[in-house]
Amino acid sequence: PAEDDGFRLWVDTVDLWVLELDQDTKSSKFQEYRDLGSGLWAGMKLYGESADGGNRNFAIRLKGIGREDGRYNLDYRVEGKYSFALDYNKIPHRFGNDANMPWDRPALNRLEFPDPVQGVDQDEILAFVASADRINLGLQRDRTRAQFDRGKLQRWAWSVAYTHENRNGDRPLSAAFGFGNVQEFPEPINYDTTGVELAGEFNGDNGGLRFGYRYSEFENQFGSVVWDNPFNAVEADRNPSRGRYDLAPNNEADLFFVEGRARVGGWWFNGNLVQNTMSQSDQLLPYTINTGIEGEGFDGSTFPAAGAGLPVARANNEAEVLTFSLNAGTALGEDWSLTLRYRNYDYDNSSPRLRFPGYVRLDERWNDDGLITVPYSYARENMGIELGWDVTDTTNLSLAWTTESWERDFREVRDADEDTFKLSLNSRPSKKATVRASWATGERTTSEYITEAQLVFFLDPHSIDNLPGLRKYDQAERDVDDYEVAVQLYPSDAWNVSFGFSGRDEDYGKSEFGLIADEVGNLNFELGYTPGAHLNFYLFAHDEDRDVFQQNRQSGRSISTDPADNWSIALNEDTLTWGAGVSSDPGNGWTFDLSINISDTDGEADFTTPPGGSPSEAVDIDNYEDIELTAVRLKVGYKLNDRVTCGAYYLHENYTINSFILQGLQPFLAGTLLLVPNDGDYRANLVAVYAKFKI
Amino acid sequence: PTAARSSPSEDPGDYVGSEECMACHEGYQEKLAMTPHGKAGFAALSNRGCETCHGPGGKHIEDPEAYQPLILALSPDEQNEVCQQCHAGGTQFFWQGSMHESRDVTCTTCHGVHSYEAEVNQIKAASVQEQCYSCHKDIRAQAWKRSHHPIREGRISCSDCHNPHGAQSPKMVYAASINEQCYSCHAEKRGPFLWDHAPVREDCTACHTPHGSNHLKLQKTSVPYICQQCHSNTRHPGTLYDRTRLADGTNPANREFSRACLNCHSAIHGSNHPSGWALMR
Repeated sequence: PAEDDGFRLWVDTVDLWVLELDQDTKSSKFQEYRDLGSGLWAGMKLYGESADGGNRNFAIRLKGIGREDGRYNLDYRVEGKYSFALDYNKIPHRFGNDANMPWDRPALNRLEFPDPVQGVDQDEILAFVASADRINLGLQRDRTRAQFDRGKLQRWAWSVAYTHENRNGDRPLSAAFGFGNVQEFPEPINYDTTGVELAGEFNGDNGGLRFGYRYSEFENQFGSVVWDNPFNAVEADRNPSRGRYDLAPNNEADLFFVEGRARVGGWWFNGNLVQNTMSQSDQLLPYTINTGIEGEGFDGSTFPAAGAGLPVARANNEAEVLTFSLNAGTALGEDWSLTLRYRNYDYDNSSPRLRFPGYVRLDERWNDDGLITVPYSYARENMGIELGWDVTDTTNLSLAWTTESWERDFREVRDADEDTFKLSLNSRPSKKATVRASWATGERTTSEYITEAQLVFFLDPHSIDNLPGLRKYDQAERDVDDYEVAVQLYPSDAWNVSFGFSGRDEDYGKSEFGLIADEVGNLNFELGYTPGAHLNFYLFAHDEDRDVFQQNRQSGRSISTDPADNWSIALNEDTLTWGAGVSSDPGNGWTFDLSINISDTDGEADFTTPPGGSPSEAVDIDNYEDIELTAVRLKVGYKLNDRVTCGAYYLHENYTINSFILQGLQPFLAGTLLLVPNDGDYRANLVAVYAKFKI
Repeated sequence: PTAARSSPSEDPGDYVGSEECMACHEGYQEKLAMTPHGKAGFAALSNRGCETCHGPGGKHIEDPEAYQPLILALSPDEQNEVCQQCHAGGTQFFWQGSMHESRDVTCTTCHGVHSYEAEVNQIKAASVQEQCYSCHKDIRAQAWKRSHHPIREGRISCSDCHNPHGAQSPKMVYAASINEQCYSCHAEKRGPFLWDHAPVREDCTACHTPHGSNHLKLQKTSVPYICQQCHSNTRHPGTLYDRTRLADGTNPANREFSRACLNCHSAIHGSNHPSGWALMR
């Protein structure tokens, strides 16, 4: 400990670990969001305190120093006056290792297919791709948050917060030049998202007020990515030799908020008003990068589609979002309570409607279908009333009615209303039991469903090409039931038991096609045993069973009206998750901590199609994602003395995935080049020894 | 602040000062010492010490067995009022009327004043997520699924998105809507784009489930089937994609394997490309 001017600063603990990782495959999945590679892992806590008993406090907490998943915190506070907090959080995100990389990369956003190979026959391309280099795909997120608070917990409080996140790396992206010409390639990522918030707050005896301003800016260092067409080296109309993909545009958001709460004459009120303006004015790319394509304007004049003919140079898009909410409640006598809720969320996209005389399809050719941009807007209004009844001192029943109304522009359904009734029970029948239960039932009704709305992009009339009987599920009429029962028992100080079930059934029975039903049910059980401070044991199990049913009809060039062309899928996912653990501190200096977790999913996709139509038969999929993850952790520690604890740690994980959508993937499938990164099966064993120094 | 009593109807006697409390409850001073409640600066907010929360100790000293100023003996509302004497602003601003408040959750359900596992915010469990899982068991199970936010790895926590003390927004998220909450990290999807995908602007959870999924990218239902729940158009969108159309099937189709529909329509969250109306550039 060092003492200087009445401020004592000391290193509280130092953690040193030596890790040794053994993994049997190159799957990225084990380290998807973490850095557990072999080597040294260090952590430290450093504290400071003023000599007046801690009026000024300082803390630095460092974890994983120098690692890709390191986290560093700093806190400084003068109690009752101000505080400052800094958090630096590094998060890796690995998408896949050992990806097939046939592309040369003269710049991060320029992907070239080597000249001698580009445009030759498929056999040579296949051979080249088979021998291509390999890369790991992933990105690093570096998040910073700094906040200064003044007057926290006092009548007036002020705060300034700054946030910044940089994402840097690659993730898989794909694009096409046609059905038989699809390429996957690394998308260069270098995002900076910066935010600032200024806020003030007043808290009085009977209410409070908060207000502030928040600004967020997103910057993408890469406006687009250009990639070669492996199957064509000479650029011409209907023969693209390269494509250009527009990456996420720079954008910003300005937000003002006012929030309040009050108690007036036996009522409580709270609510807020938030205005958020989201905008982006990114420069538009040309219609295509293909210099061989000629575009045609509304007046019949022609122009090079790779460099002219745009109605505007920049997007100038903007959406104003206004949120208003107000809640109130009061006691009605000794046993009854009333709560009223209102909320309105208005998303008004005021972006200009831009008219385009046509577009370039897949950098391949000019299509003279005139287009107009569509500023989708909507308003969502929620109202509710809840009546609560204290049946006894420990049991409360409540009945609530809520209604949610949607009003949409440019979509298939303009108005939708969903009314829901909910009955809840909340009871503590004794100090040894808690019971919570609820059941809600709702019905959504809508105005006329206008299938033609999907054609709103086109300037000229088009015939509909989606099934007239299909109802998009976010706009479809439906019935919903939602239920939950949760019981917690504490038969003694040592034992606790909890069990319950919950579920949600969404029934879209009025839809002829599309999503027809989506049902999920959960069962859970948990047992805990803590006979004292030296032993803790737990066991839990959870089963989630989800069934989705959807109905479709296959069409050719025009919409089929033949029921024999129908097909349907019943999707089932059953996930069993369970875990157990024991922690022991026998009191002789040794500590033991053992846990096991298993998540096991079995999925199936069962198809049905009547004979005679097209399709006339279907083959089921029995691996609609079959996944199993087992994780075992063991930590053994021994306290050498009051200052030093040492020990060993072992982590075993076994991950297997049998995925329908990834099975059989190869870097080259007829006309399709894929990265095929490895994020599949692995078996990993991590062994570590550690020493923790209390200084 | 006004002090709490173990029973509001009972006279707790006079204030006696923390030193009197420590004469018997000596262990608590050490536990509190490293917490904001144990610092000298706490006096800037209250000079009552232990009795700030527990109420006057006079009667307890007179007869320690007959009168015990235990916070846990109070009703949930009374317990919360003790904490809200000071913690009524900040993230607790909307506690009144919140889901947890209305279901009789108390501050001490999650936070330990004298003893806790997680140092930051004095959470009783080892981490925020472990605390939340003690009730939200379905979320714990989802976090173990193949596709998940980095919650179980401890890189983000439930409280990065949700305010457990109450909010004016659905699902108690900090932002004004679920989408705006998602944009706080995924700002590249904020738009508005030249060509928007309408349901994307309305609700990210129309297609994604945020806590864990068996499918890529937190999809509620895997592509191509989730796309076909809305798009059963002529030609390829309405085609049946079964076992035979997989990469190793008898008639493979790149509309089913790898990213299925998104192999071509990869700008699914919106496109700013003049030729991007079909979300392919």
